[in-house]
Amino acid sequence: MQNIFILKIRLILWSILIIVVGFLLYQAIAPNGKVKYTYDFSKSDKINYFINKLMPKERIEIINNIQAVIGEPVYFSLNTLRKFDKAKITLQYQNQDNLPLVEMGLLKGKTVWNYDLKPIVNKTLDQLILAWSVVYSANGEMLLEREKKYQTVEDFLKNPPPINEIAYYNYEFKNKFFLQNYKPTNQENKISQQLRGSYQFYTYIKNENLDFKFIFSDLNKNKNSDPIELNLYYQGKLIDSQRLDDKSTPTDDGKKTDHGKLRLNMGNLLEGVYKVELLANDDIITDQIIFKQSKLSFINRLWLAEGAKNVEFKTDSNIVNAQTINPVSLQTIKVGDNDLILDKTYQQFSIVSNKATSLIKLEKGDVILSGNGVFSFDQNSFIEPVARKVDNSLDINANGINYVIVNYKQPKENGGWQVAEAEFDLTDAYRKYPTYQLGATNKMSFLISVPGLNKENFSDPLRSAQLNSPNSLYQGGTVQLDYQDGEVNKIIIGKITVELSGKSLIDKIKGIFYDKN
Amino acid sequence: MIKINFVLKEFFYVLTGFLIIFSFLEFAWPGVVLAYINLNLILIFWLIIGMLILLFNKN
Repeated sequence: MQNIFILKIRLILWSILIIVVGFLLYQAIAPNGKVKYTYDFSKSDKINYFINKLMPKERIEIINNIQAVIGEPVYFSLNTLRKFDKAKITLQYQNQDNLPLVEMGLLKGKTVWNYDLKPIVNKTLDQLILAWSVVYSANGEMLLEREKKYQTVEDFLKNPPPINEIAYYNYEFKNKFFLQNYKPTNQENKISQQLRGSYQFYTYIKNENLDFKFIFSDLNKNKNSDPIELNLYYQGKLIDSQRLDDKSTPTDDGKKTDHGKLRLNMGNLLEGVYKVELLANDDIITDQIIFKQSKLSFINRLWLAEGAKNVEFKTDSNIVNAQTINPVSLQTIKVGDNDLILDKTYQQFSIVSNKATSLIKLEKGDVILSGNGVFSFDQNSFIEPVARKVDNSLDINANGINYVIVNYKQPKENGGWQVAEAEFDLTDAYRKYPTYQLGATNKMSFLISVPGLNKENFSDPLRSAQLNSPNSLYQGGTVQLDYQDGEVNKIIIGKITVELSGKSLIDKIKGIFYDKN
Repeated sequence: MIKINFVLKEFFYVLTGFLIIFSFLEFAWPGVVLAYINLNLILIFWLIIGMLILLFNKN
């Protein structure tokens, strides 16, 4: 009798073990290829394996048990037990301070920490949707027109207006840009200003070879390996790629060493704009760029290395940001007729300009310049081949924008919260894997970006600029962003829900079977 | 008393099984167990039962 009782207990307990193991494996394999994880940030003590807490904690403030983002960007990571191809992230948030732009991004590469950004809220677009004529495409794209001219998005794409009248957002606008009266010079040009780290630039080709030589050195300030990748794009497609591996022994002795050369030389190219992308870490200095093209404009950001003196740039950027980590490089930068005072290290200073182009003058190097436009060392080589992006610094009226093409869903209201969705392609996401494993556990990194949200120097730059500009931001004029101490703006994060989808178990098995044949 | 001792032994054996299988699973497939179950709690429970069994055996 006792033996039967013990046997029953044994059977029940071991059955529980089998059921639990089965449940865990089922959750990990996700046989239908779909899984959903949620992190409710109002339950601050809850540990969630899949969606980690927002970091760094210095940019997070806990208000009434709710997480408020007070500095940007903030990051969170997503752990999954197998690979998925797509993620739909639903963010529940409150934007009580009406911050103009909130975006979410997925880390795609670690060399330059590039994130694929998707919109959460864009107040400029929200206003335009109310004021302008709106045309939707079957794919969910939206064309906003100041005055209605196009009946469909397809009409607009077939017969677009001049590029300077178009702005885009979260949309790959492939325009064919041609320079009238352009003649190749075949003359050798040189950029001898040293550049640090990664950068991208546009160049223009017409009946000539694309010919660029890059000469590099290594600052040896960190011990990591310093590979360099050079990519050439035409109409958004990669057409050539070169790599320079770091063959030297990694050292952090701070002694500058030669790091080799790379050359891009291609003939028989179609006329048009080409984008060159150089990916390298901040140890790499480009000492010289020697080229035969006559047009060259750096895109969005460049880091002028230490040692440069009295450098001039032409830019079409509406906002010019400057930052340095070197106390010797503190200075007053001229942006058009205005001064951008760079008087603190490790802090970004900005100036808003609504002029079509401005001249930037720097006395010293080791400054990171960034903005929403292009930068060119030589006024003659300036080229502005793409439509403007609708971000928090673009002034639609001052820039003469009449058409905006976007891929954007306005956030919805739900019980006092705003709910926005962003979809990400995970196939080329940067993933971290545990060192030893048989399974496919991996970790991806996401960010929440709120340009201008900075707990060190607040309030919102765009709103400050609007308040302080004599003509207001939307009517022209240039104004240094006036940050004020005191009340800190914030975005309150309520909940993050991640819906992942990928191959089902049956598809996976079919794939293995199919591949073997 | 003997009956409780037998039941505790069964619990001890199955918890040992839990710990061995979960440790192996976690080593082979990181996160598969820890995402849902705190192994520390199982370990503590296992230790308590082990001590109780020793106590009953002594008595």
